[in-house]
Amino acid sequence: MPDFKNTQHKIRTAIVAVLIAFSITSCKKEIVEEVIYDNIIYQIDTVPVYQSNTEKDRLKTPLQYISSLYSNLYYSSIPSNLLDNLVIYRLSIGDKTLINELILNAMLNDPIVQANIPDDADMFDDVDAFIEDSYLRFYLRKPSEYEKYGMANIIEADPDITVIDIYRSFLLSNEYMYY
Amino acid sequence: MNRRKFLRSTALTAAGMFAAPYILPAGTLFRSSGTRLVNHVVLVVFGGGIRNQESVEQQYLLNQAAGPSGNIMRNMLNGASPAYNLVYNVWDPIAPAPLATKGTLYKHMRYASGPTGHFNGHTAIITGNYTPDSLNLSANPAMPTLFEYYRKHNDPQKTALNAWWMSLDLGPYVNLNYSLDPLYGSQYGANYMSPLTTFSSLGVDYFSTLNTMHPEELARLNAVKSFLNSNFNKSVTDIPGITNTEDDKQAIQDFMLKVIKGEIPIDYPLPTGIGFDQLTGDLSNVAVSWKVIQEFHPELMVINTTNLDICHTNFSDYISYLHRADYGVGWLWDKIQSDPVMANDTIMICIPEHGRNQIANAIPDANGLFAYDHTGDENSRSIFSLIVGPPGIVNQGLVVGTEEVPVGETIDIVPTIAHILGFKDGIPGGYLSGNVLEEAFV
Repeated sequence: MPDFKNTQHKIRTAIVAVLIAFSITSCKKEIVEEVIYDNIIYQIDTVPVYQSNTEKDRLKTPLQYISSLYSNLYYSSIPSNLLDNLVIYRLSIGDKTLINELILNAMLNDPIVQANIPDDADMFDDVDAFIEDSYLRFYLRKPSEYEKYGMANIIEADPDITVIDIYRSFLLSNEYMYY
Repeated sequence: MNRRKFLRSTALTAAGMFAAPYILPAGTLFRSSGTRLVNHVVLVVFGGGIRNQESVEQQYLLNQAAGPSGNIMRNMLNGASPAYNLVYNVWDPIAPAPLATKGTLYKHMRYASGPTGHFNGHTAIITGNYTPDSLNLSANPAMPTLFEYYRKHNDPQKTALNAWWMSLDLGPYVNLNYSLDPLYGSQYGANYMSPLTTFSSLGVDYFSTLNTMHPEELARLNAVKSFLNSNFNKSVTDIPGITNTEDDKQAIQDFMLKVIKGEIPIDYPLPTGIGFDQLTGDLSNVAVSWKVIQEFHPELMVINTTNLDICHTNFSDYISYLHRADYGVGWLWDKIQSDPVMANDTIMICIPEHGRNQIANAIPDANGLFAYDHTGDENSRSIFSLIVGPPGIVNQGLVVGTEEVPVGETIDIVPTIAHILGFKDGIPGGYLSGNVLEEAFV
């Protein structure tokens, strides 16, 4: 049985880090998110932040996007100097999908991040649990039945697909750009 | 078949025979673009605020009664160097002959309206429209950019790999690759890069161990991402910034990583024997821009220089930066002529974004020379432009415009480039009030 308990603990940590980043960078109207953040920090309940992706209608700022990438992959907040540098660096390229991909790939290339990523074998051992964890980790919501079905089909149809392939896709997807 | 039916079908067949040659692969009936003069345009916003006195008028220190006159831009302009009292290190020209002999010099042009600010001037050049006092420095321009006109109206339409905006500085300049105009916008924008940041130590530290993605990884990324995106109601077009095609994006990433790793070496515009301590930001921007040109052979490339803005506080350094930026332009033209795709198929246009004041400010430099600001006097609206290109297409060695009767304006650059690349007729009326700088062309 894959060790998803440890992963789930890390997911909680990542959620807290992401929410801290949002609470720092968002305007004061985002009170709802702060309340949920309290729930998670005291671990009263680990319910997803979002019930549906239709609740996400605000585009993350570059600062929010990069800090949430880092939090999701390193399970810690991004150092402020690195965040500042990457935000400035990102300005130097006009195609934001291009530079997002480079920044993400650099993070995924980091041995620290790779140590935080489940084994590919664990993913194939329990595809459903992996999918649920990934949606919670990156989208802060549970997958719909259709999403579970579709994602399971993709994973099970490709024996060479890796956890990094899946994570990369989540982190570069349109939904991840929003909150 | 009765007579009426016969006549109708015959008429339709005849109409089809006449119309068919004009139906283009894109499905349009009439070609929106005209004949091209060449296939590549390089626009150098020779910026930072340059007075005509020190450039085309070649007054050097005469204006400050501190020395002789002389030409400090020997790559671009005809004329001998100052004979003495040099406040800059003289670099021998790289251009075999001044570029003015290979094109048309608009010796006196006008930046006729709007604040004489660097970003205002850049915006006026790139959009073909002067800017109001209330220009928003943190937003893309309201009027379409040159890049959008090119990408929307060129026939056939070209990807963003053919349009580049390379700026020395970040700040508001990052916003000049596309506008907020609802009929144009990011889908027609240019690739943007600021080489001093892209290839800074951060870029080297952070990305030097990275490789471009393997095609199989890329295929998986696109497949999974496509599934994820299909379940979300916002698309990539809702996200700010231009988007390349997948192939173009990978080509640019590959280029970036190769430059960062040193696999694509950068040649710098420095004369033999001159050390890197003499390299300026302007020259670095020119150097990387050349690599982009060499790699992708874009049809439209816009580059800027801005180091000369030191003239607010240091006139001697301004002279030195002007001298070196001139070398960079000569070097770039020399490189263009050495490239089999670009040579004899490129027109290069150089134009400052604005001038500087007639009267110096009160700030002396180490040589006792006074500096100049640009606060909107008539002198700061006086500029020049140099258009160089192949003989038979661009008039060679022609000089037009005098101080008394200037010819041409800043806002003429967009229509002129649209004329060169053959898409001017596709631009809807009401967007551009400038004119083609006709004198430059045979």
